[in-house]
Amino acid sequence: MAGSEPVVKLEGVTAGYGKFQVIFDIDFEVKPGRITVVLGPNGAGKTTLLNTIFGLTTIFKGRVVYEGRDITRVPAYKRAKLGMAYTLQLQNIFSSLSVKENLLLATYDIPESDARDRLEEVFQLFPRLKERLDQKAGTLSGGERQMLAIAISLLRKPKLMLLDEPTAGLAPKLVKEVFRSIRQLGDQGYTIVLAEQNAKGALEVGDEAVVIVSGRIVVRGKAEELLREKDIAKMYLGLEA
Amino acid sequence: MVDPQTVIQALYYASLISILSVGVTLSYMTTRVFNFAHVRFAMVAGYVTAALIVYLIVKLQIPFDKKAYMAFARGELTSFVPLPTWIYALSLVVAALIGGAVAVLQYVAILKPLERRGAGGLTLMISTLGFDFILVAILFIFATLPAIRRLSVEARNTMSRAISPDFTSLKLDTLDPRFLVGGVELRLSVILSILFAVATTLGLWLLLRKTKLGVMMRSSIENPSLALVLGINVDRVFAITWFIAGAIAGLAGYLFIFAAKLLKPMTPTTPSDEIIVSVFAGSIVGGINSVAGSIGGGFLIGLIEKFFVPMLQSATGLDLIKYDKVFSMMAVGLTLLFIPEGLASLLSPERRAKLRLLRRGGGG
Repeated sequence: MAGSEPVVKLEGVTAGYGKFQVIFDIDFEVKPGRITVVLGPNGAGKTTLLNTIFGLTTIFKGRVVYEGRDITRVPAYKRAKLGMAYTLQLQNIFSSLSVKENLLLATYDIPESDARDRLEEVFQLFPRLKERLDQKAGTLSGGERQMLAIAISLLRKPKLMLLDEPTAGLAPKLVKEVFRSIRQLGDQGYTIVLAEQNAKGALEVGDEAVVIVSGRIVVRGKAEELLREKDIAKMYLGLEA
Repeated sequence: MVDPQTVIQALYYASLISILSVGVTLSYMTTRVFNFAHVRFAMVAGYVTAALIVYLIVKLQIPFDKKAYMAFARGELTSFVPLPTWIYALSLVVAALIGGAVAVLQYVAILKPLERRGAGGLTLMISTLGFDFILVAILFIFATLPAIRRLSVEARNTMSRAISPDFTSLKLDTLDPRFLVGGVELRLSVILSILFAVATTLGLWLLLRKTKLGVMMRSSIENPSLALVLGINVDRVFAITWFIAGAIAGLAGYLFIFAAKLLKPMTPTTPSDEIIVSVFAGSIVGGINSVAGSIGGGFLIGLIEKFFVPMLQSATGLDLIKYDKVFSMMAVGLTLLFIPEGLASLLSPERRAKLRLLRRGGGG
């Protein structure tokens, strides 16, 4: 990636839903090719931060800049076309559709031959999905669902990938597996914003990190530093050193 | 022996309810609101299209061929088509377009802005009632325009007895083409009603299962935020869904044209107002989240009202036809009590699997 111009940048953003403000005066940037981890307790505003990047919130103040362009007023569906992908925390697949239809939907606006190549790449990362193509997505196991959800994002060859708690509700073994695939994606050069409750696991795979508490960013730094600094780890992340 | 005309009328009515129910279901699935204005789409489409037909009659000076009509009535002719065929085809398309346009208007101008302001289900539902009143008012105004009145007088001069002189009680049933099939008189509107029901079923199935737009519709209905995140313009997909629902209602409206009693905007409650009750019933009995279910449910409700109830009346000698809606409501009550997800749930794979388990004694 050329230079270290941030892929996306929030400048003094206050945002929320309807009339409710959830995050306040957020300055946040995501550097290309890096995994930026967003940590914080439940209800702190992690999801709202991701939603704001994708245009799913009401913005009261500030602006969102993507690849140097102000996109504060660009509707969400257009951001998808600008190369953003978002794996939602809940209901991140279409359970009434088959696995195949889910994957097709992710590539509906891409030429068919490109779509086929990308599908092959995704199957290499998640071979299990290939065996489940004709199954209804709602019948997949928790781990397979997460894989499908991430596969849907990957198929879009995103310049920016937002992942909202991809390990929530998974068995410990699967949690490790998911974190490992995220690191792999990071190594392949994907730019990722990862919101997580599992601070330790996320910081281990992440490059940069911020901690949100009550809608404000209270700590920012390198992921490994945060993992090392005992006070921060204890105070905000509930980690025992 | 059952009178063939009773069967024909029952099939006609059942098809009509069926295609109206499917529209109510489609719009419910997108906005989660029962649309009280849905049957009015049909009425507006029917009425405006009727005006177009009358205009064409006047413009082209088409006389009513009384001789041919009498010959048909005596059985000397096997068909009687009062107007050139292209008028029927053109007005069919026009009716569908008008129905679709009115539906999109309601979605874009009323429901969507309300939703954006955070309106709840009840507010949205009341707004559909309001929109219904607005449409009635517009029809009132339209029907009493001097130009429209003049048009109806001129039409009477060319078509004589075929058209009622007053446009406010429009009567175009004499313009419905008729065919003699095996000694039974079939009207075009009856044949079309059944064709519409079949075509709607097949068309929607193909659209939803086999096309990109269909997959986009299903995905937007199931999970709008995920669809949005994938770059699908959910608002536009929903507007298209409303257009389809409205266009199908427009087809029903085309059938209204030839059923004089359905197209009277000047009376406070018209038969088409009562239809909405049966249409909602069809939607619920079929399963409110199932397109296929609503087609079946609507058809069933239609048969109950126009076939089962008359049969019951002649068998018991009781005056039941007056209360046919009561039977539809009973069907709704029974459905909600015993199969709340509607008839469609009986056919869904999950349900079938459950039933198999129960039969084996494995429990639910």
